[in-house]
Amino acid sequence: MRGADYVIRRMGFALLTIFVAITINFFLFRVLPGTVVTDLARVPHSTPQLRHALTVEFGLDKPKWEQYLIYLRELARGNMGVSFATQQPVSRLLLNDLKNTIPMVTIGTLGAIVVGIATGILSAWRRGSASDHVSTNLAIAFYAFPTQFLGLMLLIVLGGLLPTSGMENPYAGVFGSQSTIARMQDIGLHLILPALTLLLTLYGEFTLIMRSSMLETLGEDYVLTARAKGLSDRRVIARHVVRNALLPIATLVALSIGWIVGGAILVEYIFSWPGIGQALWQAINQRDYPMLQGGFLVLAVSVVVLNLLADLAYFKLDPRISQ
Amino acid sequence: MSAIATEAGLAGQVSRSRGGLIRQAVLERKAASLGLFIIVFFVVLALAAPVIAPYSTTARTCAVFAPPSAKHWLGCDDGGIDMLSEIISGGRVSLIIGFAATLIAMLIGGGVGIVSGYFGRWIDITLMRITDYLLVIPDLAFAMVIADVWGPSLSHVIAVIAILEWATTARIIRAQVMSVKERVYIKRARSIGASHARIIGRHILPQVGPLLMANTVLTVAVAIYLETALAFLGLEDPSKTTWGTILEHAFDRAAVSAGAWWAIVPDGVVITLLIMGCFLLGQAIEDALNPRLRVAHLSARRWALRPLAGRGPDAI
Amino acid sequence: MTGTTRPAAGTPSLLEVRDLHVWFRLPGGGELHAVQGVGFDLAAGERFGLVGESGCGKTTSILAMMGLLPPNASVAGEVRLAGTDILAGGEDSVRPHRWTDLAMVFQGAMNALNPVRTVISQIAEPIILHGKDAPWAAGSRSRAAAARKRAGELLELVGIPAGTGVRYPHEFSGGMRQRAAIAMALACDPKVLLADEPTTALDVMVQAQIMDLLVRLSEELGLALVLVTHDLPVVAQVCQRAAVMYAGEIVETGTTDALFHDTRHPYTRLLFAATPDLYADDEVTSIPGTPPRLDRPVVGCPFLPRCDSAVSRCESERPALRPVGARQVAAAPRAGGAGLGDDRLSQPLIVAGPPDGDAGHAAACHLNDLVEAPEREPA
Repeated sequence: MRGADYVIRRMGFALLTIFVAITINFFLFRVLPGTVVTDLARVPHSTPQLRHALTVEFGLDKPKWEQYLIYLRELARGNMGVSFATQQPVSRLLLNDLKNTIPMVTIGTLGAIVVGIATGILSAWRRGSASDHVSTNLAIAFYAFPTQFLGLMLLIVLGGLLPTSGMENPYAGVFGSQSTIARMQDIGLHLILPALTLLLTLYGEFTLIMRSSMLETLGEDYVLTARAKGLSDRRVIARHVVRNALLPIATLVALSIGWIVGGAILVEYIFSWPGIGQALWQAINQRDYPMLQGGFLVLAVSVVVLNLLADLAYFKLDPRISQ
Repeated sequence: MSAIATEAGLAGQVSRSRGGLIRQAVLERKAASLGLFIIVFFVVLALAAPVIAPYSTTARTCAVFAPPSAKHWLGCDDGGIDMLSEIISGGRVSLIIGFAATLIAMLIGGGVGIVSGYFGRWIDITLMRITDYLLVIPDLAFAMVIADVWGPSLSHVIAVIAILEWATTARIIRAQVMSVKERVYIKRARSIGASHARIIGRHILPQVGPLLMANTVLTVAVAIYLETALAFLGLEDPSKTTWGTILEHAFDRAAVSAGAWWAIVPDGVVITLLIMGCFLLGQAIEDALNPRLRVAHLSARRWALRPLAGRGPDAI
Repeated sequence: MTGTTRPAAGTPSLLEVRDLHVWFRLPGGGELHAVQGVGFDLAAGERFGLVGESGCGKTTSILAMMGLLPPNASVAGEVRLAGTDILAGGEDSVRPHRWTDLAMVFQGAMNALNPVRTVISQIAEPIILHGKDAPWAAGSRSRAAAARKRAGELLELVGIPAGTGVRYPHEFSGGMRQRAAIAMALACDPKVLLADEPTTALDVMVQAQIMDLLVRLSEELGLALVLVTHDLPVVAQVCQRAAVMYAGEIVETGTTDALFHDTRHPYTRLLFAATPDLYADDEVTSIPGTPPRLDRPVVGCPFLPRCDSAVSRCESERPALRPVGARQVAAAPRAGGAGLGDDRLSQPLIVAGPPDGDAGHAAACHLNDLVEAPEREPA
């Protein structure tokens, strides 16, 4: 397989980064003074028994490096502790939250990519025209709108038409069980506003980069060659221009992952979407440190994994990458 | 840090002109002038805030969620405080946070980038590994955790933003320094024994300067964004008025249900305008550094055919 | 334009270019008149050189022949293929002839190939598109396969093993990429191949190989070749006829033999003088000055500022491309014409005569029209 060593190297790097993230996580929450773990008196609703149990489980009376090893061991087992607020295992809660976040974020991000690419191509093709100016300025404006502002505006404008909070209607199943389809529809409706906010916040940058990349590609010699071969304009664009112009988009997606996560957090907060972002925020509010620590780790690892996927996708798209 | 972000798009852009030429190229573009105007406008507003703001931002001067009127042009918020004054004063604080955080991030990032790019080898490898990890961590999540661990004071917010932003700049500056370093006149200077400090000061900095400027402007936009996001999530000192806390109050006190759009829209608009201004100016500087003179080989419009008027049949 | 260059008498012309003009609209307003009345004929199997400095309009001319100009360009003139003017309807009328009748090999084939597609797929692409593969009943799969097979054959024809076609352009050396570009150009059996500086940026050994290849293809396949270059020795070796371009127009044209041994334009002569000769001890001279700006109309001869043989008529009247007559050496310079340097005397004074001999030799210079020795300024 071409560049097997490249793939292995990138995966190795990803694993290393995850390991560093885990270590930084430990450092942040166990070593820095002022965290609740170092001072168990700050655990909410804590009883001496709870404190004792926590001390035993996480080895809090042992030296730091031993704690680190215990931490790693537990993590390898999938044990991230127990939520202070709900007394449930953190890993189970986070997995559930992740299941909720992923569809919403995926739809919003994919939508942003598709809309961004399409408008970027059209803008570049009609460069200098009125529609180009409008499209580009709109993209800049939406890129500049803070995510929370967009969310609030959508609340104002569409708040009456679409559900504005939560993932599904909590009363739906009260009078007899809901069919799966009805439930899906319900979730789908609730998903619209948060995903739309995410889409609007993200798409602008994709438009601008795609437009710029298209203009760059349209000046390449091989485009002239394709034209010289007698291909129609549409064929040249489809077969030679767009494919090449998409490469920087892959880079941009990788760079944006941090921002996508940030946007997701804000969106989940505004629309009370029960996902990881919401969980993180609640953990802060409730001083639920196991949840906070676990949530942050999950987010960091997700970013590393997504970056790796983007790397591999770019590697597949561009045959010139082999070092 | 993903390899593609390193390779594609961050390769140093060669700045062939001196500062003056760049300044001229930038100001020629309308977008740049507009961006600059917006930024200057807000800076002046911030400086003049104590004088201009019509009402106090701590004392109640009107009814809760009072709509815009002749006395209160932008109405009032959930605490009966004049919105216009809040925006003017809040802008002052937001700009201070944004500029301070950016300044720190630029100093660290520029310094790291120059050192890393110039000296290379193990210094470079070490520093770049650090930036690699920093760049992977999701910004807002990290900021939330730090702000919570350290507490929500404004200086902590500045520190958090600076920590997050220096890595991006370091990468970009490093790439530029590495490409400048290979130029003949640098090698010549080294061969005649010029000290590192002198080479960096006299040869590298001027080349890197414009790129650093572009980056600074763009980072201000990011800093403002992060400040408003942190405030919105309740991780900033709620007693201080910033553009971010204004939106946070509006959301928390259900301004939407109350139909009080004036508690939301003007604030959002000024944030947007400032970010847009920074973006336009930063992009214009980057464009001026990297002029694209390419002709499109394919376009919606086509070449034209002119009739051969007035030419007789070719005489052979 | 009143003169044109023609193949040997009796050979039908495959391609006739007449009075080709190209203007480019400039961003600040105004127009650049890049090509000013270029014309020539081409017969099947003939190799024709188009020579000149950078910026003289030779590349623009051949791009215009295929309609490959950007939107700020305007074109006038005719490009007749078997009698039909393919430019008459603009882009739409010229596109069907691309690659099937006229094909091009671009300058710097480094970037002429799409880096993310395999070489063989790019050669097969026009074959599939123009349906130039043999007719089959079956659907697209066998058509694509047949196209790939044909593409492989073309690669072998230019000296590249067919198996390497599955690689990407960046894996090829510069010379191989140029050959692949030639193979690609032949994909639809064109009648005319326009080669724009096909060997610039390649090293000398590879240059020779590519040139040999082009000659062989032209001889074996009956392919007409227009070779655009600034490299005169190459033209001398490869082409039968050539035209020298300056400032957007043809200033001299004829058989390569005539151009070399009976040079009739000062620019042509100076171009030869500027070409280094490995075996001679002559000084290499360069032509001082720069070509004229093409965004304003030129008064008089465009070469005047750099010409060493100008006469007064050159200032006021622009010379037309006209067939040249037999060369006659004039008598000794008149009395009063003292001060002529030796070098000037070594240039025979030319006198016009009835067109005879090589009817295809034409030049745009007043020196060919003189009936008496020119008045010259004392040195």
